[in-house]
Amino acid sequence: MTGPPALVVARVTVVELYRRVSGSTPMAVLFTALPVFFAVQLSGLFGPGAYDYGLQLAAGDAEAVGARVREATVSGLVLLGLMGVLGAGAGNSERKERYVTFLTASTTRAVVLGSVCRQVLVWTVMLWPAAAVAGVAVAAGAGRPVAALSLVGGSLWLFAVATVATVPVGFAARWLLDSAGLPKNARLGLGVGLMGGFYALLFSREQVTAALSGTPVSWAGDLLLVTVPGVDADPLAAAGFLLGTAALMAVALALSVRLAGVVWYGGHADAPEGDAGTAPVDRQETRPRAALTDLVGREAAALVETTWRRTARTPKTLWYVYPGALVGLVMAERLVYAGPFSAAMYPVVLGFSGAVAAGSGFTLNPLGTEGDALPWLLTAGVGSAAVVRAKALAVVLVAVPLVAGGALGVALAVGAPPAVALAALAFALALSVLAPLLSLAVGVHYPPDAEGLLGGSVAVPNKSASAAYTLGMLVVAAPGLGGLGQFALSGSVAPAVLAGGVGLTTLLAVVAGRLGYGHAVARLDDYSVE
Amino acid sequence: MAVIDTEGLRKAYGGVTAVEGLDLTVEAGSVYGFLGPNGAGKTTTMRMLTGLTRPSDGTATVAGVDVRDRDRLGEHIGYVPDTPPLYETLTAREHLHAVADVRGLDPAVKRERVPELIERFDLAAADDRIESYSTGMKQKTSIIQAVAHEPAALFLDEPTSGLDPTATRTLKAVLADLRQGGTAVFLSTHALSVADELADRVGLLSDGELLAENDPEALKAASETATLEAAFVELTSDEEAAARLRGSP
Repeated sequence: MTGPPALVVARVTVVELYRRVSGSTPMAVLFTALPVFFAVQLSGLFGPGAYDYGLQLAAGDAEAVGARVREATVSGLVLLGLMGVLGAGAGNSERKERYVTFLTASTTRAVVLGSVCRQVLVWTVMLWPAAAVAGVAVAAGAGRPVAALSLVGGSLWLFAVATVATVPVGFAARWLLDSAGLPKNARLGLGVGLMGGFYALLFSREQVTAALSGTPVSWAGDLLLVTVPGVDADPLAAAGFLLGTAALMAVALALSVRLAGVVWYGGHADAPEGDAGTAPVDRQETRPRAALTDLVGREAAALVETTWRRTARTPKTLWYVYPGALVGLVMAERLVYAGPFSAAMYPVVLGFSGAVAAGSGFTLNPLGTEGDALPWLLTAGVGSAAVVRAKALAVVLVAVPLVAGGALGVALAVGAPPAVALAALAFALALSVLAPLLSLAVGVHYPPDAEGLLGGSVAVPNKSASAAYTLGMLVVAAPGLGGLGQFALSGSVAPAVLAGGVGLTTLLAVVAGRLGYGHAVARLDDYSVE
Repeated sequence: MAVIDTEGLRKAYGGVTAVEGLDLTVEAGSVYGFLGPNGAGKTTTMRMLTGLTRPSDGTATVAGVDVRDRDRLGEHIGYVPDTPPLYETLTAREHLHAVADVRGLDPAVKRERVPELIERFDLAAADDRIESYSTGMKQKTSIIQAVAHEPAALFLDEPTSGLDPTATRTLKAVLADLRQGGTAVFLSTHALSVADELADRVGLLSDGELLAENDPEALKAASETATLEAAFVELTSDEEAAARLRGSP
């Protein structure tokens, strides 16, 4: 491959990404389905959408359409900027090891520019088609093809601006973290904070848009509307936005190159965690470990403790708990806070989403999470049943007090009758025990027995595994959700319905847990590196 | 007494045969140098003998246990794979204690042997996280986890990879001790000087088949070369020499 070094880097990384996506059916589906879904939503093909704004424009209501597009543009730009900050903070555009070959063969500038090109392309492919289709739909509805010019071109520009302008933010964040020598757990805290900020802005985007309406950011609307007839877009403001953001991107790129040099060659190693000191303490002899050994035996205790240690020191694992927690937040907000259910639904939501979250971490891919260490585990003669039991125990010992105890506590706090509180406890308990067993049963299929598993780290967990596991949990939880939900909805429930619902969930959990355990053990027994 | 014993051991991946009709015997208290060019099937053989890969055909036992019975096999073997099998977020000491506990090593023995091996391999950073280690330090940890329980059979895949000369010397001394104690050492390496020095018997694998098997001196004499390295090159590149050797005792 020849050409300017930045172009070569961009081309190679894009080809690599393309092959990764096209070689994986789930990723190919995601990269295709996401743009199509948003395009259908925005265009007005089904239900109200951009096409209707075009019709409105043709009917002479240009002012309202202009105002709507301006509002959507600014809020879109804000969200794109936030997503860019999150992506940059996560290292989307600057993962050094990915480009180490290029770094030793080319300049930092070329590598930064190449990787930014790749990032812009990813975002554009994923999200811009929807904006482009919406622009075309407006023009089609209005019967004025020229309107599509600025709507389509302008939206493409916004994607480029949002991606490029946020790249240095990620480098700056890395530089600050490295300089401060923060441990990984603190970094995770920072990431959670950023995510919280993202949601805060997502839900207050209307207020944010209003606040930005008088600023140069609002000129983005003029850029998108400049070829739309009758909406009074200011060409000067559009040109100003174009020039201003071009300058912003140039500054961002220059800053990125500078910061990349500092971050990549600064020599900051990942800071050790606080508990990884050099004191040669024999940690095996601690009191909690002794209690654990008494409870489950020495071999299982060693595996459980190792699992806990690795999880605590690999906060990234906790990200996989996030979807479960999000399900809980959404359920609580939709069903109770803004929905018809009473507060008695909170313990039920906690029981369900807490259990889903607890089983979503390291048990969802028990072979993959072992990574390079898998050979010793498989050759240690410990037995598949012992491995599966230990993995499940590592979850159950944490989840039962937190989720089941939490559900009971919340039920009592919201004043649920004793029978309902006990039912919520039983519901949460059954799901908390089931979660790791179901997770292990599903997780032993991911990754498949493929050559290359040994000696390599595997993404945890696989998205398909996550979906299958969550669906399984939902099926088991459904009867209990029904019984407890009826009380939360109407304030009363027949004892038979309550006991029947929770009883059926418990029964299903016992059966599914037993089958899941047996399946995971059998699968691990049959495991062979091929 | 044979600790490792294979007969007609075979592994095929689809239509590709990685190992074909392997007949091997490794006695207790001996070192077997398992040599061969890249892609010869050495790692596949190691994985079959350690229970990680199921053989397609043939039989293999280690310490009298069928290699297909992974759960029972584990207590008799130690394995140093080509990539150190370590939990990077643990410290070496934590990892080694966990491995010893899982293997069911007596706590008192564990408390004695683990620090002793850490000191012997000069693993000064044993209480730092493995993720901060150099390649050599990871390799030392990998070796310690495989030998701490003094297994009946020890499988080593490129054990000197990344080790400095001092650590390599320590490894040789540890292997000599294990051999003395009756451990059968199955050593796959491209560092032929190490095999030359340690191995009681050498097997040369090429394209999945055992090309030659003898003690190093006999192998050198048969190929009319002065070093094991020269013999290796001669035998893997000269079919006539290989055929001649197949006929040798």
